[in-house]
Amino acid sequence: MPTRRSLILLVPLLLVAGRARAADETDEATQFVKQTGDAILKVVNGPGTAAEKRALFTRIVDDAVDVDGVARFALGRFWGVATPAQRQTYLSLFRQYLVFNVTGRLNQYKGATFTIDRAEPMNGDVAVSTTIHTPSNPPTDMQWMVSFASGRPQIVDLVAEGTSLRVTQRSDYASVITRNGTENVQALLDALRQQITRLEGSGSG
Amino acid sequence: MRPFRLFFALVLPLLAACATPPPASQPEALAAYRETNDPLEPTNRVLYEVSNDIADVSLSPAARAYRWALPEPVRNSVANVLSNLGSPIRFANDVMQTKSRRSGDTLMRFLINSTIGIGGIFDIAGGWGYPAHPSDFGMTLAVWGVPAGPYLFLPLLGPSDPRDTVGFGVDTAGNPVRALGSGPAIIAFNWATLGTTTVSAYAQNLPAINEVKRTALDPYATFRSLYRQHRQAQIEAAKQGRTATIPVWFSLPPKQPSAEQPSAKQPSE
Repeated sequence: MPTRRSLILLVPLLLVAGRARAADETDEATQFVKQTGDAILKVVNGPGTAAEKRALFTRIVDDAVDVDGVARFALGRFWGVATPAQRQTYLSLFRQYLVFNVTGRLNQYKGATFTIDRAEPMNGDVAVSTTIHTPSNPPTDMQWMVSFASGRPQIVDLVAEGTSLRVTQRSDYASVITRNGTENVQALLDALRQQITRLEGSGSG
Repeated sequence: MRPFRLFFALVLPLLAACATPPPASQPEALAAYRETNDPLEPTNRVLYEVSNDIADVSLSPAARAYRWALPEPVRNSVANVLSNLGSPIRFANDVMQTKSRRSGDTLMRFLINSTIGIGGIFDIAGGWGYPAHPSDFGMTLAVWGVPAGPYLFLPLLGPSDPRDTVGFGVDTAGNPVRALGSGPAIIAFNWATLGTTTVSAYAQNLPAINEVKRTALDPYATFRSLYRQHRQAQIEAAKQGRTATIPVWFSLPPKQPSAEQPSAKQPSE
């Protein structure tokens, strides 16, 4: 039976331990973002066709991003409404869509470099702030939200100039699902499928 | 006859079109509807489409021509000069928000860039540790606690809300250049500045705008979300006096208790 005094001593110890763990995680997250960012820029600035680059990029996404976690976040409360079959279809469509969505954006980052400004714990994740310097646009702020929930660092969100990718995605999807005054997850799946076909057809990305 | 028909075609839908909120039997849907806070959505969507059509034939070609004609450093210099012209009103807003550091930054930027930066062409102050930050009367109202109100999509001005619409009006009316008089030269200067500001800002954002239109399933809802988040981050940065933008939802306290609390409690049981 621990005494009151040992308890009082325990609290700062636990706090120190928690802080040390957080410090480890911020360091690890910083390293992780550095590696991932370098890998992405290598693909963006490297040789190869759009399709080849997309294939390379898909591998980076699968490796570094918690795709299913982001997908569930983006579906929001409709995850509970969707049938198991719809969820399966959604997760697979979301992965393809994410790759197209982000590869399209990557074209803006040709010739870019980035610097890591700071990393700080935020709501259980680590926010790594970077500044991206591109030759054709003013420097932009980009925050990488890194989660350790799975035991290894994974990206769960990108925040550019205060706008979160997954929050924006969630607004977009919610609007499609509720457009006709009803909650129709199938409408989202159809729209996603159409959009992926269109993006594939347009050849860019 | 014609103008009347045009009037009815344009104005009547504005008065009539309101979104129907979901019934109270669907509390989640109702909560989401309130969070979206876009009761004028049908009207806003029409204005969004019309503005897009207008931009496609006017602003977009102008912005593309601008990007084509002027190299990046020149475009940056133009943006710098315009930004410097906005410094006095930005300073006034920083002061009204009672943010001393940000006021100091803006004042130093104006003094340094207007002189050493040759009328604002070069952003010398930025390199000297006085970074630029946005500040306008919409933000001032937000810092004072005025709520944003419902979402509005205004023709030509784009995404907004009542707070920012009032803010835009006050900032425009408070432009110190107006105090110099209302002669033809001043009027011409104001129009030229407004035109250049619009094209310069649009040209700067054109790639991002096109990217949203290309990838989003519902560009209208996506722009609405982006606008709100971006504004919220700017306002939050102003409130906390920080010069970097940090989104508000990351600053909220976590809903679940942190890992330390249960483990510290357990031995007592």
